[in-house]
Amino acid sequence: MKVRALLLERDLSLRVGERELAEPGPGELLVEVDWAGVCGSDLHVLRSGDWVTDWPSTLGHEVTGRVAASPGGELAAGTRVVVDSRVPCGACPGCVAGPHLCENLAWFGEACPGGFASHVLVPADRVAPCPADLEAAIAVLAEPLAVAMHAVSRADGRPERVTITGYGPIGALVHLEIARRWPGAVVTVVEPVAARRQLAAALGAGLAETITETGRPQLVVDAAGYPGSLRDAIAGCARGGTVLVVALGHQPEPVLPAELVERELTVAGSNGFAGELSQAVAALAADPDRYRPLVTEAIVLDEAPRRLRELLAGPAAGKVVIRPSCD
Amino acid sequence: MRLAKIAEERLLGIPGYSPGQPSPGPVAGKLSSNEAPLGPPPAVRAALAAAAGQAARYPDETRALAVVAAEAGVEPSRVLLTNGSDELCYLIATVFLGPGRVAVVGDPCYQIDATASLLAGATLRRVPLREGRHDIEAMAEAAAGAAVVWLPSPHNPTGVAARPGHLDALLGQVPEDCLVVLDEAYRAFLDPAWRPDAAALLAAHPNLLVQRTLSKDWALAGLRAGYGLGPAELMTALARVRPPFSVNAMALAAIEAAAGAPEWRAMAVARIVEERTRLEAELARLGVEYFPSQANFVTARLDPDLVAPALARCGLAVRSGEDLGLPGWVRISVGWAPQMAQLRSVLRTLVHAVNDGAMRKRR
Repeated sequence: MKVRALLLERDLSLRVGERELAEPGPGELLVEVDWAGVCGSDLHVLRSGDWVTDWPSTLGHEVTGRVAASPGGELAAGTRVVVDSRVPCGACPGCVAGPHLCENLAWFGEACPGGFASHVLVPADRVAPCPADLEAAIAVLAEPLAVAMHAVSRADGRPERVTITGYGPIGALVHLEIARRWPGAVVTVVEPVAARRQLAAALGAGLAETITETGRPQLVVDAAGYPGSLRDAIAGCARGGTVLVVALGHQPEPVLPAELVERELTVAGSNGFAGELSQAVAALAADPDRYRPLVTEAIVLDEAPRRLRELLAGPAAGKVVIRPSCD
Repeated sequence: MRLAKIAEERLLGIPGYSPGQPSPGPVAGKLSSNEAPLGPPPAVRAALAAAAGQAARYPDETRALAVVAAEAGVEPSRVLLTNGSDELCYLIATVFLGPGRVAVVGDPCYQIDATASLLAGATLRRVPLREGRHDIEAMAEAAAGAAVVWLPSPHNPTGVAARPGHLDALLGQVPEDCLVVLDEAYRAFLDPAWRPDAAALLAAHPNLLVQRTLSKDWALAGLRAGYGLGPAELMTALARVRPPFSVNAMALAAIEAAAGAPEWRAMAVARIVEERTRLEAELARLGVEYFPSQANFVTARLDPDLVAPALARCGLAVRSGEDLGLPGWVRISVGWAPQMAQLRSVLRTLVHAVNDGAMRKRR
């Protein structure tokens, strides 16, 4: 079948056009996309073409929609779902521990056509159903919220003071998850973009210009990923504390092993999510207004080529979501 | 029934209030009542839960009055809290208007100003707007012999604000025994350079009353809270006709909590202004006439009968201008980004379809 989609060509040009999508078979779902979120990793692909295995590519791994066809009868037509973005190989030792630990882990939208399209094809066991009354434009936050939930679960203890560097959507969702899990924790944000600082302050965070101003918190979350951000996070963390790395920094960083030893620091990475997708759906359904301010911009598919190019030059205040099909 | 006939005669010519239509889908699609799409700050919910335990007690407005006065930069004696800013319209009309008295309004005007004036038995002197803006000179002339001038700025239903400096000029011309009511319901959405210095105006003009609501940027529409600012003697007079305890305990608790979260309001207003800019840019691209708005809505010349059903299919509701004295227009509240993206898309489709139809007819 033909679907309308955002197409990224090998030369990294972007356009809206038609692409072929296989008809769903038993064990698969055809999902009509309501909203798909723009992730920082999508912007990385737009710049670099990294990770794409099939051209032209249709990105978009933060996807919510309604089941349009379920030949195997796994889910009723009309059921709202969010797509599990992980595409594990299913054959490696890592997969035994969990899809997010797959040694060959790929992602929806890069390994297969993604959600910047009117429809997606997904395995029936790779979605999380949503309550019928959960707004689609809130449900689209489930995937990045699951990422944030998993990241926070990687932190040891119950920190009283937390610093988050970088207040893009993942930094903001990590903040909300920390506040949900540890309501008494004092969260300080280091973020240079004014609109993001404004969002952080509105959501209850303190603001600082640099991590050194934040007084050695027990948990530092590196959601920035700028060259040197891990170094800054380690230097700014309290003895015995945890540095949680959620940003995809692509520059090598010098780390002094003796510093980790002598200050008894834990450096934890976090890749996607484990079992948190359904928990994220439940959290969004329980309190949608808590998450609403994070969606700061919405566009329809026709607007996407121009706007995504602009986002490469200047970030949005929060999450940008795309509506693939015009009603 | 005789009583019904008596009521009908008494209310002849007084329009009833029609609220904005609910959305056909999720409540976020309600773009018909100029509500706050992001809601109040989380602290308000906690305050409401805590206040529920005091439901058996009559409300004490002392603390809420103090925070509102501090926010406005005046003494508490110069503030009157009201049950929504609309209650203040009725209080003003009760004290200053009556049979034989004249109230000046723009045309079209904010409907409650007209209703309260007419209910009090006053006569309306209507001054047509010019491109959606109050004609300040004409209003000053119309104020001769009038008891009240109602002046919302930014105006509802157009969203256009009075030019900086024009308010001072108006107040300089209006007779001292005529009350000027500057309704600043949408002040927060106004370009900061255009925001009147209310405290300075109040100090200079004892016949000025500033009216504000907590329904818009404070996001407390469902709790009904507003206030007036003016000379202490005027506030005392208006308080005498205000029903006792007209602002309830939940609203008072919410006011205190919301006052403590200015960062939330700043963020929410910033989102509204961004979406308003996007909507106006889209209307301009489509060649649709609209009033350049400084409020949290945009009023555009669009056929409500064409637009409303198409929007309803996407779960969106807007306000027909027919209700607001602007037939052939719709007033679109600026909502949350996802709804606004859908709205822009629907408008594009409709306008292109209409233009294509017109082209085909010409051929």
